[in-house]
Amino acid sequence: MFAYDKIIPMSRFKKDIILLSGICAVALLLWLIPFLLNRINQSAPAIVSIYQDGQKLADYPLSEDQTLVIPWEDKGYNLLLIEDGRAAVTDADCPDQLCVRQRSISRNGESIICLPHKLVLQIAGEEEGDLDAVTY
Amino acid sequence: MPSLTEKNSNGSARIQNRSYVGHTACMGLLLAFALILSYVEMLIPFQPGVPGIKLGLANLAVLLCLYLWGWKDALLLTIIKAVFSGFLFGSLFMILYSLAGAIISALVMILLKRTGGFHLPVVSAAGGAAHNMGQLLVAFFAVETYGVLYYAPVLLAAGTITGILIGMTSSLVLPYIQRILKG
Repeated sequence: MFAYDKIIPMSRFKKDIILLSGICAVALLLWLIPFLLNRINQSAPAIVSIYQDGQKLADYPLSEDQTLVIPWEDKGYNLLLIEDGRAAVTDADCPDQLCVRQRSISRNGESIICLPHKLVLQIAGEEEGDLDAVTY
Repeated sequence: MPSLTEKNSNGSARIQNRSYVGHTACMGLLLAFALILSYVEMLIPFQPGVPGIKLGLANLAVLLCLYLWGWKDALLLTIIKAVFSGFLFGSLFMILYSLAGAIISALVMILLKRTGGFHLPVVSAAGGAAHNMGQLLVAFFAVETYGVLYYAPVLLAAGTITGILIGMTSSLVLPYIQRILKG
């Protein structure tokens, strides 16, 4: 092997390498922080609140996988699926089907709305729910 | 401020301190160089998705100044360059924006050079990274949203890479300029 190290000894670049890897480490850390924060936020207990006709019917934790049928005046229904910490309406017999087409929700404040059935599903953290009660 | 001229016995003005004048002229040349590089940089269509990423060509002049004449001149050149290029090509807010980045970058490079042991491309890389971080801080205080910090890693990496490129260029150019100045 040709000894590059003898012509330009690597020790001359020791400080350079340390500094550059330091910058890379900081960049990597800054890149990872949002992911870690998201993790923490997701592990916080989040609930999906069900409102119908402006009245709160129930809260369900996102942590439990389950399927719920939300009836609408004996005439219709919305099928709420809670899976992997996300909530989605998978089936409904409302005329426009907008609620079914909406993306599943998981983050605080996100909502799915079904206007024909006057149904609102909203994600809330536990603490956030308390604050809402205070403002009302 | 030393007087540049004095009257000799014939009454004609004579330059007292040649190196002082030469130095001033060279600083002027470097400033012009920096401003032209700022302009050239505007002409290059290098617009990646993230705001704030640029080549930082004008940093070449600051680096040369730092290694030719030392930190005082480099800092002076940095500030004048930022103000002038702001007035020429940008707006008042841009001056503030680029001043923050440029001064932090210059200070980091000066400190690293004084510490010793760092080679020019690496000093320049750290300067580039510091420049982007400084601008990000100004942006952060301007909009007051944490969302800006989302760009931090990208800007840090970009500043380092462009800084290394500019540093390599100036370390190649430097010996020739030093030879000219000596000769």
